[in-house]
Amino acid sequence: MRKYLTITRLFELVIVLGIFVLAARSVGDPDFWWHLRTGQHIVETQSIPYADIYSHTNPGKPWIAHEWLSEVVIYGVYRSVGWLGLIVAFGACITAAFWIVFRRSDGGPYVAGVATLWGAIATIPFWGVRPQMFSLLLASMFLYLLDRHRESRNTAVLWWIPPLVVIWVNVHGGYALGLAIVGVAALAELVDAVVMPHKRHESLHAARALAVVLVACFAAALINPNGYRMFLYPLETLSSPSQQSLIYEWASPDFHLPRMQAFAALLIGSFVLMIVSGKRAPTRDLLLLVLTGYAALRSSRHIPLFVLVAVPVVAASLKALLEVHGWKLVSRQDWATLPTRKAVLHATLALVLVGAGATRALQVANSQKAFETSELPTSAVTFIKQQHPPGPIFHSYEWGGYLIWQLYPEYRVFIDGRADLYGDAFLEEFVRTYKAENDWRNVLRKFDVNTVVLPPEAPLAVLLQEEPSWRTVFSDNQAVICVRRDPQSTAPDTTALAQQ
Amino acid sequence: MPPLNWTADTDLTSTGDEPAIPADTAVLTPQQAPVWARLVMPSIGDLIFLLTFWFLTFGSWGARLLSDADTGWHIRNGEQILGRHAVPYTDSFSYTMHGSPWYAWEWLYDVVLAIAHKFGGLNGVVVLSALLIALTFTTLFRMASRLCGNVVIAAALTLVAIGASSIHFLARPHLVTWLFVLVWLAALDKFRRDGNWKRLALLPVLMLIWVNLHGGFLLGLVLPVIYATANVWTAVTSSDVQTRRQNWAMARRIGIATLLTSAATLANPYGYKLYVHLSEYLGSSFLMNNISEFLSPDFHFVQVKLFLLLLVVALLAFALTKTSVLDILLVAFSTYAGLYAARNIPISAMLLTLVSAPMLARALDDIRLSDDLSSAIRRVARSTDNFSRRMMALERQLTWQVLPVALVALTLVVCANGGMIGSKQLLDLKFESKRLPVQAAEFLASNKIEAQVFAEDGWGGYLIYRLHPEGFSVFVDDRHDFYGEAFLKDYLKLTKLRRGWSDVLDRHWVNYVLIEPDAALANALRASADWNLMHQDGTAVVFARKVPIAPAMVK
Repeated sequence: MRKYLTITRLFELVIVLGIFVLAARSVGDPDFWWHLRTGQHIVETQSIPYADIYSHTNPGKPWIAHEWLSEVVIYGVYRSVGWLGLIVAFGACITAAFWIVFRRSDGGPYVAGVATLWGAIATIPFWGVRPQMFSLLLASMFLYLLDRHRESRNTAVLWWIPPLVVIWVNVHGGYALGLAIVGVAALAELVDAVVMPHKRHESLHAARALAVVLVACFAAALINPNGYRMFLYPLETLSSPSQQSLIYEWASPDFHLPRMQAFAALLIGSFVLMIVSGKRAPTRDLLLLVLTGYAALRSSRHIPLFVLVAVPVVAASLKALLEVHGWKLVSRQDWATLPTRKAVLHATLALVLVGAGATRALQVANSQKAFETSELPTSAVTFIKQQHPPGPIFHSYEWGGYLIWQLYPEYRVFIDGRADLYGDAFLEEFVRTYKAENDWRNVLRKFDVNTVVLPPEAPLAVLLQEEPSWRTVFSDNQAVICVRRDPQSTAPDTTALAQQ
Repeated sequence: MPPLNWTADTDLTSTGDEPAIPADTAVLTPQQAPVWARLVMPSIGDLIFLLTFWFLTFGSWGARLLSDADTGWHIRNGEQILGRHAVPYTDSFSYTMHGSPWYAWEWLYDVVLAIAHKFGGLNGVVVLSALLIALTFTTLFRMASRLCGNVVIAAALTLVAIGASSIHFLARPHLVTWLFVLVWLAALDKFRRDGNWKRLALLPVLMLIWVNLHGGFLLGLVLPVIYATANVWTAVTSSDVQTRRQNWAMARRIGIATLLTSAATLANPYGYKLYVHLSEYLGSSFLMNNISEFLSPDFHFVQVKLFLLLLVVALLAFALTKTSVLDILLVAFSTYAGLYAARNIPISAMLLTLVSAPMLARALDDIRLSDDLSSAIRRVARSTDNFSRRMMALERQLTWQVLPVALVALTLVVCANGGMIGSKQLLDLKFESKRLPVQAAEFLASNKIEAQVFAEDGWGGYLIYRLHPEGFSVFVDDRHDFYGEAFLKDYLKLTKLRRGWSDVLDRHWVNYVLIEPDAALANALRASADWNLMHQDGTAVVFARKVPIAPAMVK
């Protein structure tokens, strides 16, 4: 016991648990709910859906459930352990991704710890119980394996990658990033071979190994329910202008936001530190920095990928810079015999830290219900369940997933987070209707919408509340429900209730 | 503390990045270029001027300069100043805030625009703007090529900078700030080389003009501070006594010049109150988060991608060669400024060009002479270098700039002639009728509707341009700093159709609404029993209140 608990180990624990405490957070991702429902569907029917089952606007349209394995995992954990299980599992997944980053970073535990924490803070806005977190972890593992290969030139390390691709392609569409990382690594070796003639043989050999692994990765990526179609999937999203502009995470980062400042600092800092320290990063990292930097500026959801690449570069630069200035950096000390007093102190501190982490997880799990009530239209959903206003419904984009979880199959949704399924034209039509622009009336007619569930600030909600042909049957801080006053409407009379 | 390894710049006496003008230039082109060549052959700088100016006037970019209707109220304000021989202190364009204190801090540019407008109408306004833009980028090219001694690098970077800056090619006062920034950088750079304080003497004098032309004059204070910071940094970290003393002296001189320049900024009609006003404006997170040009750039646009390309080139240059504290500070400043707001991209692009060009040229030299690089790369570097030396030698001879002057003169003649040569209409620039309510404005004019009309901010400048001379006043326009947060929050309730939108219409005595046919407010008014549709065209619809609010209630 006392052999392990050196002060650097303790610091490592602080970093790991610190990230865990930050990462353990309420389930707030709007897409979580339809993932949960899909997981349930897959488990109960023992089959993966290939066509839409949730919407009344695009029923039966081909749907690539590319995150099916994540969905099964999410549902499995939810069924067996509940909220605590989900929060701990995904918190652990994020923590593991950054622990790997920490281990990849040079400069001893303190420099690496600061750099890792900095990077972790930059990615906080993207954390949650969502399949992307598996991509984060897998990308981190890929980079670790490629680092090991670069250091040892041991090709055997690379053969861990294709099996990981099989998992990745079934948990999240981001698997393409994994292939890209391997491709860039191969390219970097080729660049090195051209630029540094004295290392040509070694670089070419490495490039060849990486190219073979890349081919194996492509083959491995075929092992998924949708086969080769999964190759096209990432391209479709990346080339869809509507998804890129309408969905917040696909848009460029907004540097007015306080939470984007850590990313801005890392983006500028990683390059400035590299320049100031005079420590040139390896070609692969330079290429990845530029490419992932571009990806992150194009769509803020790629910021975590940039962070995975940038943190070790920052740590290496910081180390070089500090050493030039005469600092003696502590290196990781795994084995040491400590005096009993110290060992007890360290053990106590470690227990306190672990206790704090556990308390945090429990506390977050317990507050999940309250969080749901404050963030989601829970009362409106209860109202719909009790009063059964006539369908089909129209609602805001963010609520689609929650309504699928709560109301399917009684009600089918108008739209939800599966933007790729709905397509650009439909997304734009939806947005204009939500904003009460264009001919919203015809759109609601076209889909026979009889009930509208919207946040009070939605322009369409404001308009419908003043429309004589619609009647407001429910209204609270979260949501407004308006029902069409059609003579043919099969709605039960809810006027009395609304007047209460 | 041992020095960091950017010693290249700490030794001022050797001025590390003095252009590496090759001694054998003269050998490559021993004879002078003949007179005919000097007359008709454009230099690369001339070509950049000619192409930019042409595209922005006769070419397809001309109309784009007028795509922002702000220009409209600038012109009318300039005319008012010329007519009254006085700078306005209160607003006369809006009916909602008529008579409230207004800081027309760009008044001098407004006067210039009014004169250009008098001379050639909107053609004149576009030609003036095109001239400023073309001058800016030709100057940028000349500065970059002087700094790096390599015309190929300078021209390539300038072209990318033009592409990136085109995101903000608009006929508005910010264009003069671009030119002033280059003047500032040239002065500061010369001072950095020889430490002669006279280089800085011009800055306070020029500031007297800049502060009255555009709010970007603040850069005239920020840039010297960045330079002085670099000096202080070097002074603090250097172990060499001589270097320390020199850098402290330079920092002190820049400091004094900056103080004088700051004093000069007070020579504006509003004195120190301009600063109070600007800090309220730029410090308002509501305004910064709601005015589109202050938003962070969208990297899906090609111009922003070109900005990113410049960033990558700067990083590449950093990776390939040694650098100075100043360069790092300038690049960090331009990067953050560009990421924060799309409107900063042109300035950032120019700074990045000027920082990268000399470094790239040095890197090319290093590669050419390096031993541990493969021979193919060295060969490419060598031939690029030879080519650019020949081009540079030519560039130095073709200095008569006959063609640019001729093109500008010709354009001015066309302009003065109503955009015509003979019976052929060459220039006919107007505000875009596809985006601006041109027909609806005619409708308002023919019905003698002069106030109490709601129209969105982006249309305000056009309505002022078209209708203010006939007595019309607007609800709102693009002078967001003037209208302020409280008013604009009300305004957003209307455009975003928030709860209480009809109260806003009542509170500001709106009797007419001029709006895009598809807008949410248009749909709400169509559904409302209190409003009638009076006019409709492809760009705009006009609604009128059935029972108008009495004009007597208007203050």
